[in-house]
Amino acid sequence: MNLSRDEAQAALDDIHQATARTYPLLRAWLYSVLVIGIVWTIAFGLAQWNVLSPIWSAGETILVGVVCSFLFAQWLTPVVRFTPGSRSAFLHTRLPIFYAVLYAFFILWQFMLDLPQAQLAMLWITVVMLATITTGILLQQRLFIIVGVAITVMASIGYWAIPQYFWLWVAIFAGLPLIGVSLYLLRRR
Amino acid sequence: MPELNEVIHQPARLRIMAILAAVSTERQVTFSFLKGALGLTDGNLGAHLHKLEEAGFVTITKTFVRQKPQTYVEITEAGRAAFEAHRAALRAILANE
Repeated sequence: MNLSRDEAQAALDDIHQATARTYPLLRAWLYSVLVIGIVWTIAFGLAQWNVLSPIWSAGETILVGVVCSFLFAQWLTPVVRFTPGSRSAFLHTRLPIFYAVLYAFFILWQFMLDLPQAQLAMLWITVVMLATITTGILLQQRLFIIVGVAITVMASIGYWAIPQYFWLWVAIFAGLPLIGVSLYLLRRR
Repeated sequence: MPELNEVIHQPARLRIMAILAAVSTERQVTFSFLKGALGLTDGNLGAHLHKLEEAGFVTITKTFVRQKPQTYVEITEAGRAAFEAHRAALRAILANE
């Protein structure tokens, strides 16, 4: 079977165009990461000047996460599904349960421990990043692990090194990275 | 050097394989999604999928979702390997000239 250079190029262009049709399908979940990043950046940033209570960010993030997950699942089903009986299908049915249990415990700790606002924000950030890192390990997604570790480290540095600017610090180093990573992945070809 | 695959090279089947390869492993897409994405009729898409299934490049699963019949299509390991080899062969043509 022989092809000219033009025919080969046309076939590769066809592949590229067909592949691009799957991007909205596979990347829709990134919008929830983007929204959480925007919520964190604005809420933590405003908390630096006492404009907004930082607890707003935790409550809103839970709400945004739940609503986005629900809408995403409704939109995606039944266009794409994991192969029944596969490892991916197993993991994707267990991960939401893991998140629900983790966030339920977080809410319980939040009411039981009566922590100062900065510690509460750190607890919230680390709980979400724990979920991110665990997801990265289970799904073998290195970027999740890198983002989870980096945000945890940067937030911890801000908490201990510059407590007076902690809110601004986490707005920049916890909120903005989520926006950056989600935009990068959404625009990647 | 990778070789072109005659079954995959047909334009509609090439695009079907490109979509199925892009949705990652252990994932299935619906017949209706493929039909909409490729702009093919039911009969045309069905015929191409049958050809790919015969070659062992895709698996077709018919099931019910919310009491409605649904057909899912998934690329096989052999299909993925053949598609990647075909794509590599196309790139080689561009690189060699």
